[in-house]
Amino acid sequence: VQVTVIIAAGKITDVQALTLPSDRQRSAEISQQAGPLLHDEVVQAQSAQIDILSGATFTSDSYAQSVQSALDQAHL
Amino acid sequence: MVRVEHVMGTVVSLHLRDPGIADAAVDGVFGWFHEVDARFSTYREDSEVSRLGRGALGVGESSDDVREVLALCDDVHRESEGIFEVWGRRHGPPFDPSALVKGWSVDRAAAMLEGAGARNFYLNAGGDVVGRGGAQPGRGWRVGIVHPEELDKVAAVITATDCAVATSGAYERGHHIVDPRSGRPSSGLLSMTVVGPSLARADAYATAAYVMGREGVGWVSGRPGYEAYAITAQHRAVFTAGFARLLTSVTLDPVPGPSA
Repeated sequence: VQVTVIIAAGKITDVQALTLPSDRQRSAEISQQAGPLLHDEVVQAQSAQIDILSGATFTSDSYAQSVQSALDQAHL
Repeated sequence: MVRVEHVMGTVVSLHLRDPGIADAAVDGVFGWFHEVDARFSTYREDSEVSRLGRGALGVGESSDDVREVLALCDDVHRESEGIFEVWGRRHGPPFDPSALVKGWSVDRAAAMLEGAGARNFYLNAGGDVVGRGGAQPGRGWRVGIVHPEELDKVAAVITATDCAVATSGAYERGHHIVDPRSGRPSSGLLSMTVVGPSLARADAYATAAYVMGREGVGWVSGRPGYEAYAITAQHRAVFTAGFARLLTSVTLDPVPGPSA
């Protein structure tokens, strides 16, 4: 089955099961977020109480401004 | 304890929550990253990778580590039907396994730490993460996936214990991922995140799946143990059912929108 997850303000608010549209392999279960990822659904990193940040490679230069840098500072 | 070092062209952070792990073990891990830098850098003419690329070193003469990386690159090349390519790309060095080496070296470092008795730690190498255990008893690590356009915000949060998380995107380093079929930067996605047991594979899969676009999510779901989360140019998140199970609901103050 395909599952649609609707996220608002970082919370999963609804989960809908859909039938898989094609005969793709069983493992190809794809979920799609129904709503657009808008500004008000995006979470300020500080308020999300995260431990780690994953993102496309930050460089030595951009590290200083990164959220990971702030997380490191908080525990140093 | 936390240790942060500039190495491999980025910054590696280690957060170790277990007390009593020998300093020598931590020194060994960072020594390893510097060694990888010297041996696998495409920026150093005398590195094994540079010598392989210009034919000054044969595959058979390479170290076991280089051959292990080559075998992994070959695997992902086959699995991705040639989209993941480390040899002879149009731009850049003739042999460039960078999209896999960083993750591979972090997998090895995590094994070194486990060998020294560490159970609860994470390593973050420029946004590519390996976590073991959790942040505190009974809770895994909360990993924020950076919003590709607002780098101080997260688009999603997952909670995981033993895992690797890698993200590829057009941001930060510009359009650095090129589709080998067209020689042009891939388009259609702002970012692609892959979660799974090995960071070497997660990193390589994220690179390939980012090029594939939305189809990449389905492709990753066909890799046993791996899950994907993509953000499209239309600001929609597309992800596998397995990824949905990792998503964490975070309670927080509402963030005002730009027009609010």
